Amino acid sequence: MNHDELKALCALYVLDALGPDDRGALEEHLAEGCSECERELAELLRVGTALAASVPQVEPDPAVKSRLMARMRRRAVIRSVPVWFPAAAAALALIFLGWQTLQLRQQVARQQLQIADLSGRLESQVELSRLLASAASRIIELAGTDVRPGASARVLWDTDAQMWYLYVSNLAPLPEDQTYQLWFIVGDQPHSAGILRTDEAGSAFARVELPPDLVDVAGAAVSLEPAGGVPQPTGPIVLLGNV
Amino acid sequence: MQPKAHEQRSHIRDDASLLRGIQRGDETALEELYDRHSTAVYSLVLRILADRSAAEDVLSDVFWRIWKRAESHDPSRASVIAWMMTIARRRAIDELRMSGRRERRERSPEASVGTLQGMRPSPEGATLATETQQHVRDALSALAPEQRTPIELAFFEGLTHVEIAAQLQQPLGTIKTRIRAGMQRMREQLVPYFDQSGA
Repeated sequence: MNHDELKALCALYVLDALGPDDRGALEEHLAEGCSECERELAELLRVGTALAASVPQVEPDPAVKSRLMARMRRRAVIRSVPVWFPAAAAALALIFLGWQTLQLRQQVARQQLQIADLSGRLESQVELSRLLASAASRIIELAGTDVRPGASARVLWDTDAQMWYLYVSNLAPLPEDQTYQLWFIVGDQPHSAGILRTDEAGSAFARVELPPDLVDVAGAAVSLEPAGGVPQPTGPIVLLGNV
Repeated sequence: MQPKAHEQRSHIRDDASLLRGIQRGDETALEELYDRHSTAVYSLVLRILADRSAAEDVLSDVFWRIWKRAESHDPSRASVIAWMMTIARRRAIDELRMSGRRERRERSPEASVGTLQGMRPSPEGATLATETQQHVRDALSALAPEQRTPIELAFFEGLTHVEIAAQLQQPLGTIKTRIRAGMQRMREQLVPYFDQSGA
C-alpha cells in the first residue's frame, strides 16, 4: 500500500474497524515516521473522542467508585509493604510457631503431671473405698497434743496388706528447717515411719508399709523434728493415738 | 471533547498532571480523574453494552487499568480523555464480544440506552449535552445514513469494516470509502469547535 492508501485507513483505524493486516500496515507506516498520517490520525482521533462523548450522559452508581477506591487502597497497602517484609514475616512466623510449640510442650508436660497426680489420687480414693468396706481394716484416731491442739489424724490400717493410710488435718505448716515425723509405737518404743509433708491448709497424706518384723503395734505418734528427720524422736509430740 | 474547558482551567490539576500523579501512586489523583470523567466513560460503555451492571464492571475496570498502567499513555499521540475513552470503548467492545451481547442487541434494537428504564441522566450530563454533545450529534445526524450507519456500527458495535460490509451487504471498498468520507465530514463540522474548546 502506498501513502495515500494508508492515509485513507486512518479513519477506520480510529474506529478500530481495520482487520489485523491493514492495522499492522498502518502502524508500520506510522512507526516509520509519517508525520502527515500522524496529523491525520490525531485529528480523526478527536472526532472519535467527540463521538464517544456524544452519547446520552448517565451518572454511574456511586458504589462503583467506592468499590474502586477500596480495591485501590487494598492494593496500596500491598504496594507499600517493603521488600524484606515476606522474609521478616516468615521469620516471625517461625519464631512464633517455635514459641507456640514450646508452650504446647510445656502445657502437655504440665497436664501429664496433673494426670499422674489425679491418677494417684483416684487410685488412693479407690483404695480407701475398698478399705472402708473391708472387715480387715482398723482405724487409729490421733489427737492433737497441747503443742497442736487443733490438729487431728486418722490411720486406716489394712491388716491384710499391712499398710497404713494416714490422713492428717489442721497440722500447721512448718518452716523449712523443721519437719513432722510419723512413728509406729511398739510397746513404748517409737519406730520411724517416715516424714510427713503438710500442704498449706495443714493437710497431709501418707501411705506407709508396716515393716514385717514390727509386731504388736500399739499406737502411732507424730513429732516435730529437724528437717530430714531423726532416728529417734527429739522434739515434742504433736499427734498421738492408740490402737 | 472537552466541553468544560472553562471549568478545567479552574481545576488545580489538569488531566495530564492527574495522570502523572497516578503514575506516582497518588490515589487522590485517580479519584479526581474519576470524578471528572466517570460519567463520560460510563455513558459510552453503557451505550455500547446497554447493560448497567456490565457497564459498571467495565467502568471500574477502565479506571483500574488507568491506575495500573498510567505510564502507557503517550501524550504526543492522544489527550488523556481520548486515551481513556479509547480504553473504555475497547474494553466495552471486548465485553460485548465475549458476552454475546451484540447478538442480543441485534435481536432487540429497541434496547438502546435512551429507552432503558431506571436510568437517570446526570446533571453534569445535561450540561455536557447543551453544547458539545449537541454539536457532535448534529454533525453525526447531518451525515447521510449510508455514512452514519457504518460509523456507528464500527464505533458502538465494534464491527470491523469486513463485518460491516457483510452486515450491510455492501462491497468492502464502498464501506471503507463511506466511513472515511463520513469521518472527514464530521471532522470538518467539528474543527471550529475543537479550536474553540482546545480539545
